[in-house]
Amino acid sequence: MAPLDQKTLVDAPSLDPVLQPVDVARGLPNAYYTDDALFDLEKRKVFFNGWAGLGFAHDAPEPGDARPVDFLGAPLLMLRDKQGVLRVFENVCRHRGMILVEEARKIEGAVRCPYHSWCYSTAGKLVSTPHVGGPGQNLHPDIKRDELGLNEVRSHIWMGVVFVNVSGDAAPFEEANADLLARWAEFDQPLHHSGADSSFKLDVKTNWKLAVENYSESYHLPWVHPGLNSYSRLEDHYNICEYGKFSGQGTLVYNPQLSDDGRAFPNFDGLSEKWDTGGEYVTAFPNVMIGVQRDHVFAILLEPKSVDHTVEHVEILYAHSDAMADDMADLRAANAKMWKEVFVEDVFVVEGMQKGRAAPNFDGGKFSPAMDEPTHVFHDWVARRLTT
Amino acid sequence: MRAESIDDEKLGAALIAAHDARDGARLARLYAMAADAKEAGGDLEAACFYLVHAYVHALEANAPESAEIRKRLVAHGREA
Repeated sequence: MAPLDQKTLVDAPSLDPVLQPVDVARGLPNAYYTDDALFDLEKRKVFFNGWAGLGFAHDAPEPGDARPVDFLGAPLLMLRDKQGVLRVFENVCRHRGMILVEEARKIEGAVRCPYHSWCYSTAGKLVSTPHVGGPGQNLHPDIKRDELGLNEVRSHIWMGVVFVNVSGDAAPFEEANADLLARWAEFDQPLHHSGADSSFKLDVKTNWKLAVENYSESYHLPWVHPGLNSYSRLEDHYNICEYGKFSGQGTLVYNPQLSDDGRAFPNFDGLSEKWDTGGEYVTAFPNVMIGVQRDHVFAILLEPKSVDHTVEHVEILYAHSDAMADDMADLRAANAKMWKEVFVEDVFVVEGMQKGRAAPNFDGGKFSPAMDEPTHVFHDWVARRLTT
Repeated sequence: MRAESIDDEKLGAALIAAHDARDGARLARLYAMAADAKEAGGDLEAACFYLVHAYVHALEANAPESAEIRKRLVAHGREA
């Protein structure tokens, strides 16, 4: 019998047209946006087998903070230990697989399983096993605590985002994303998050990939974002295409006017001249869409809830702690409002494309080789991940 | 801690109240008191049973007495 993955793919529409050069390629077929079995396959091959965004480092900012996260059905736990190290674990007791932490809270001492009270340190170590050897006896020769700590999930923090590799066997994050890290090495500086005024989410009736696809290209800007186009025209943009790695778009004219009195956010230290008016918008495949500009970055973490439902978690992070000052609150609010307006303008497009995937004769779509190549790079990446 | 004493009925009520309030530090103290009473009465098994509970709640609450309770369990060969 063929392995499940192989059978799912054999039954699915062919990915061969997706893997052609952009001038003749087609987009991913409808089923990759509508079929539950393919969504499940994608979950494992695209999300679990590589590095994917789970949450944000500021979701668990203080020692002892614990935040459970449902990651495509996998119960995970972000946990910051007493020394301040943030780790990700499977949110289950090693004894009977009980969920350990139901909602975000502070762990004062140990994580106690609510079932039989096995206790774990905030670093994931099994520290007590009550009555495990019989009443009043916490020891048993077959219960080796040093082998029964919480199952840790590999994690890496970059741009304020907590990335995880659930399968545990992907190349190290710095290796898997080496070219993107090098491209944006100048932004590898401390980031500052101001809290709720720099945070919002959008609940969208679409497959997660359509959000990436829309983010990847500038072709739609003059039509969907006419306000943005008044100062950031189509011809001021360029494609970013790194096959097998990442894709997106850049602008040459980043210069927002957030206040009438000339106030502005401080910039990152030591940026090269390119970033005086440059901005880049790239997806760290599969699900973290990041924008970098001289004074702030943002990350949109896509949480696929189902094959046709996605939550976009948007967080804005600033270059300098001075941007956190009270007298900058109006600017932060204006900046968040600006980005939210842009991202909300995209909602009807990604939801409309999702509805469009029900058209029986739609063939994945014909790309403009000039304007759509970043989307093709993404499709090529997804198709290769699904078939390897 | 060992100087404090409480009768069984009051202890039971206090434990239920502390469980309801999810007051881990209080639970640790109450279970330790129960252990003290059993140990004083010569019932080591019952004392260790209560000490186990005292220890778990002290660990969870990061209560300062957790180290002392652990020492007692270790002394009786019940904890590592």
